Amino acid sequence: MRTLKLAPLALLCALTARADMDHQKNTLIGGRAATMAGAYTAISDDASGAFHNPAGLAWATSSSFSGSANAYSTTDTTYKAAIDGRDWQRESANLKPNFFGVVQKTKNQTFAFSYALTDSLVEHQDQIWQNLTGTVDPIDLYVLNLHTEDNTYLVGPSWSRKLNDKASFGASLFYHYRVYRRAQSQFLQYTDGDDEASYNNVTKKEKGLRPKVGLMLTPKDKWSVGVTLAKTHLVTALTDAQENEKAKGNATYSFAQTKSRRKRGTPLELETGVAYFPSAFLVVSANVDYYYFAADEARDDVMNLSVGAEWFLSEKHALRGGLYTNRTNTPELTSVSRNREHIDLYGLTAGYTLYSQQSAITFGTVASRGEGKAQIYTGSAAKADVSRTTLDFLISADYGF
Amino acid sequence: MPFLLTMLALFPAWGADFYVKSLKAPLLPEARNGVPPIIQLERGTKVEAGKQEGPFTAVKVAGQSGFVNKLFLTDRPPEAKSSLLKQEIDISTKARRRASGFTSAAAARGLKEDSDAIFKTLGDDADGAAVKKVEAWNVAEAAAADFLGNPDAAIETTP
Amino acid sequence: MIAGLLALTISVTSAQDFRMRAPKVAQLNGATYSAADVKAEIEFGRGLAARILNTYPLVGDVVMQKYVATLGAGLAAQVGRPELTFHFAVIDSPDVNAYACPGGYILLTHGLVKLLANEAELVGVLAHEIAHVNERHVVKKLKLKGKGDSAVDGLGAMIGGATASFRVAIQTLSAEAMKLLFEEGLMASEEVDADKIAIRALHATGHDVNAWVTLLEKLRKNLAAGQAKVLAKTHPKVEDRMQLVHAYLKNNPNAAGRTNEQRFTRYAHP
Repeated sequence: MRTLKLAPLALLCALTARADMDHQKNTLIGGRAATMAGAYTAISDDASGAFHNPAGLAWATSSSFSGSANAYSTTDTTYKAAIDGRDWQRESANLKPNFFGVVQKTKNQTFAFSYALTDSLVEHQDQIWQNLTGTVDPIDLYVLNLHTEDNTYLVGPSWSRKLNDKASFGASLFYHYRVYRRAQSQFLQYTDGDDEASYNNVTKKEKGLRPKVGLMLTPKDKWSVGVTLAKTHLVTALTDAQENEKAKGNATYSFAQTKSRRKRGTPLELETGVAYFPSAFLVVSANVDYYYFAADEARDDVMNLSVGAEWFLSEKHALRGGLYTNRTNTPELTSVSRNREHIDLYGLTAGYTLYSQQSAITFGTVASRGEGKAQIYTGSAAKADVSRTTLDFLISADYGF
Repeated sequence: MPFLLTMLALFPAWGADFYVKSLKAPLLPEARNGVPPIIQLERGTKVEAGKQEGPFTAVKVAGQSGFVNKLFLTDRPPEAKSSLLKQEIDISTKARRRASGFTSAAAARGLKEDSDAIFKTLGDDADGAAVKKVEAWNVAEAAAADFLGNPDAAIETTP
Repeated sequence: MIAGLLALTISVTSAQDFRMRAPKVAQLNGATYSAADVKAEIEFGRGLAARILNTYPLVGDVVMQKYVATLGAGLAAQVGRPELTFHFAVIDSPDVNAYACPGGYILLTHGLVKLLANEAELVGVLAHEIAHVNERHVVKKLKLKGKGDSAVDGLGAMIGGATASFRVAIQTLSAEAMKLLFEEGLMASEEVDADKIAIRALHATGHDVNAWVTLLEKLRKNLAAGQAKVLAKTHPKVEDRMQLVHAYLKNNPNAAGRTNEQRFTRYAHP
């Protein structure tokens, strides 16, 4: 089987992992919402409502603060038979505090201030392959060192008020800050004695604003309907890339630096949810979320679904669970597309909360998996099968006052 | 399924402990009024509750089985009555106990030294003397319960 | 616990409250109230009763008062919260209404007593008011309206305080309670809860549950005649209340009992 020449920058663009712009639901925010698979737009009556649907804050029963963290968050991506018939496996693991918020209720209005880490990746890879004979030029040694961090932060105030007994309105205004850093070095020692090396650093920084408005309605007793509209507006974006490489057959290194202020396209996000509260012990909810990209962006519009349920065994113990989709916004791979990955992820969530007089602590897990295709070789439309598994263990605490 | 389990959780299976809340509760041989009781249960008596039959709960107590009206039962032991006038009221340790719903009857019923404080706070809006008059008409529970249960009982009509 | 759980499943029916989850409902249902909470409740209730009595004096018929007080105490001994001493009186008001103050101070209007025909109807009314006290409806409502939405005993802190701000807080809270009783009313779901307990109490104490039907019929006629306006505003529709008792009678055909019209007439309608 003819395989492709492994160029030094072969894997440059296949670095989509958990914190990627190809998916919208990389991190489920807030302990209660996350364990209900994020089907929260029609509930949102606690601090994490600032993120999910600020209109829900009006229904919070008390002032409170809440914090949640993905105590252990892992992503495992396997590109099958990617390197000389061998799988290329990438893993990332980190601890990420994903949300903190404070809700303050006044007589007629509700205010909140929150922070959310909507995307977070820390990936470190040190890998060595030896004796690759299936490549065009046999390789004795291939060393890859990769360190990537990509974090997107939202921080800002929210406000909500009831319009009447059956409707509420809310708005959040978040400051958006994203930092992406990648340091990658590759070294190939060919069997014929020649070698290749590349050192590559990329830093991207984005600053912007993310307004979100929401509405929540009670069309009928025990039913809630929520809808939100949001869009991230990038005010500044800066990409600074530096490459230092020596190709096979060359004796010297060449250095290049590129800077770009191009802002990536961000979608218009429409989230709709419905929830049914048959009793004080049970609630079931569902969300349908739409993400619309402008026509000139090389992204497909996406629809995600999620369903969740919360069941109280007693006034002290609750169980939650849910299912969700995290579909990709990249178009299908074609013979003319390059360096693109197309994986739809499907997830499930489960959680348990212990309540006391004024506080609650939640333990939960969020897992997703998907399979798809990825074009991981520079300049080639060849696709590798790829599978991705994510697993998060989360912990969160809420305190009402 | 979750709903079914929730509904099951609302009703006790055999073995759940309940307590008699009312001053006296008749243990009936059948799940209906109008039959002579097996015994009269006193307030605070622990019973083992079973299935429900309409407004009645099947119970086992002191080796006997019967039915008690659900309204006379509670899941927490009621505090015993204490003397209103002489006993010193101590709520220092009991007052903060929340989880089991215990209350200090003495603390609840006793009137502290400045019991007129609330009237003073409300000033001219409040008629404290009228409240005290109402309180003076109080009748001991046992006598009142007898009066309720006995249609021929009379009250003292001399002022 | 059964009554508490009944309240748990029932109390969250209004448009706002259905969102409340079990822990919050249990908290508001007073599942975890302390002795200090009870003490504060009694003190506040005494004050509220004193306010009402300042507006409407006691009816001067002491025999009637003792009759209502004795009957009420007997009923409270059977179905009331054991840690409270309930007090009952009749106030000189032509309105058809009754007021359940926290802590067990229950006042019936003379207009209501005149409307009643027998002891079973009176027991039903007393049981309904006792239920409001048992379920701490007014206490919970005031806490909902309190400055902080916390479950901590704001009442106790205020009553115990000696400063001017505490006094103003108590006066304000007391005024809110008066508005609640005389103008706004409790939630429909809470009135339904109290009706259900009244019906069950009639049955449990051997009184005729049909007395609740005859009482509601009289209230309906009163409303049709343009009377009992405040009651109409603060309570659910009579038709809805009728449905409850008819459903109970259907499930419990043996719910007939005594009405004791003779004793009632002797003491309440001499």
